[in-house]
Amino acid sequence: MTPLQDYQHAIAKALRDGGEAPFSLEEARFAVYRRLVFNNLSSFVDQCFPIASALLGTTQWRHLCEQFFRESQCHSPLFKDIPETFLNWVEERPDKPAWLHDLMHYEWLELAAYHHLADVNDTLERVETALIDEAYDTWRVCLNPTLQFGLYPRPVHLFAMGHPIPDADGQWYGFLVFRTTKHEVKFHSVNATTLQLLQHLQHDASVWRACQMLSQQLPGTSADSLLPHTLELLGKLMQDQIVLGYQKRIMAAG
Amino acid sequence: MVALFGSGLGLRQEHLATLVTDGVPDAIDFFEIAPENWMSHGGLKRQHLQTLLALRPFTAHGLSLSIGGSDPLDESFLYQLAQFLDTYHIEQYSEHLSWCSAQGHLYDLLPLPFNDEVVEHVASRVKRVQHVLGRRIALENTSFYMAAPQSTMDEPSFIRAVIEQADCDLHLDINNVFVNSINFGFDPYRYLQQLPTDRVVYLHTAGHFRETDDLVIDTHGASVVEDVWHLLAHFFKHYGVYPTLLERDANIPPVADLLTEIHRIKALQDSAYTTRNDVP
Repeated sequence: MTPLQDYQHAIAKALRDGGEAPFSLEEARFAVYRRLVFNNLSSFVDQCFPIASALLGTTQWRHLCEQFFRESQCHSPLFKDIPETFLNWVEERPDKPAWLHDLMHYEWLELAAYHHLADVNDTLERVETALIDEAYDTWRVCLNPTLQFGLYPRPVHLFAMGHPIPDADGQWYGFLVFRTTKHEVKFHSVNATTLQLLQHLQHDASVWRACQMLSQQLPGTSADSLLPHTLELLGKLMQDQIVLGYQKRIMAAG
Repeated sequence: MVALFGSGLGLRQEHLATLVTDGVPDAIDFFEIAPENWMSHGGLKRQHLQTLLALRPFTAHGLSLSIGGSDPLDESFLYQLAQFLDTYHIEQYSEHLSWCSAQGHLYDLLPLPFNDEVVEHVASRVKRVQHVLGRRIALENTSFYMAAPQSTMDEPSFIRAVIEQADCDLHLDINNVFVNSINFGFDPYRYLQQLPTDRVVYLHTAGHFRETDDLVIDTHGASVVEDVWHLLAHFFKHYGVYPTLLERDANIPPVADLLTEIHRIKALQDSAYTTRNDVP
């Protein structure tokens, strides 16, 4: 280790774990950095998870943030990635309340859709709004590029301050979160089957291929039987800008 | 390249809607952005940025490159940065002469030891950055609250050594000079004398928070104090008139409320021009 590495690792360690100021640095001055670094980090986290932090309570939330700061390594130079790093860290915590990660993930979806780099208006200009010649198998479905998926075993959208925390009730709650052409973030509550369909379509699938994949997951159905329902559903999702349109698939040159 | 001139404002998301709707006030000649807060943001924020980019020259002032850090330089970030600067034709890029990561990011600017080892370390990283970005960069003197151990020279000597060895420019923050002069008890006017002022590309000024008699926190959350205005006027008069930008990053008022300070920068620049041109 070079002397510079030695110095920086010691400073970073003392900031993260709250240990004594190294190198006989004056504690009062070192404490300024303790305060600035922690407050800055937690401000990004607090902003993203207002409901989760309120429901967990100030003390526990702060404790969680301190632990995150101590144990995690944030490798992204972008401040907007701090909440996601925190979310992933919370997911790995064995002692977290069962609901915490679900609710935090749900809250984070808003940030993910809001900041998404894709240009929704630009995508909309490049797609057809209807399938030509019933090209179910050859055209691909273009989803809103900012679309985020959430699927939780509890009704995360009903979590609120002053109400008891809802338990997992054997049902799945699906959500689509996306940014519209007017730059608003919208949340749509959907069933698990719709969510599965859209996840198939997300990977460049045609309507027909998505129906095939879905029929394998739904006993007693076939791609044929699912097709009319799927087309109807896609029409509705297009009105909401969850689906933006269709695009002729460009075959890779052989 | 569009030459910078006059007075600028650090662009904040809070000001976007007003600036796009009502137009950019004449007093604002250029904007500065922290690329980390814009490069991976789409939607309305990106759309507004594009609108303003067409109206004024922009500079980029980085926060997370950790030019003095000892973790390897984040090359993937550097290439993304190059792409961002090129896409939007932002020529001027500067970073803080400090470090902000060690086995992960700390997201704040920490003091470097001022010694030969660090001069060499920083200079070689600056050269790599200049190579990837395909342009000269500038380093900014940073405000600090504690002095790193293992220093063998003073801050101006350190800045000069890094800038000469790296062959890069100086982005001089007048408020930071003042903040450090209180936090470490030195004469800010004498400090300016020792800097390589011929390498200055543009200046920063900002407000701060006086926590105690001998501790100033560089909050960018208040108006510029008189002592800093005096130091800025002195700089213009003795070292030349440079483009100067007002930073306001906390307690952010409407743009209109910041124009008084922007006008004051201009008045100081005008007055220094007149004085300097009077000198035979």
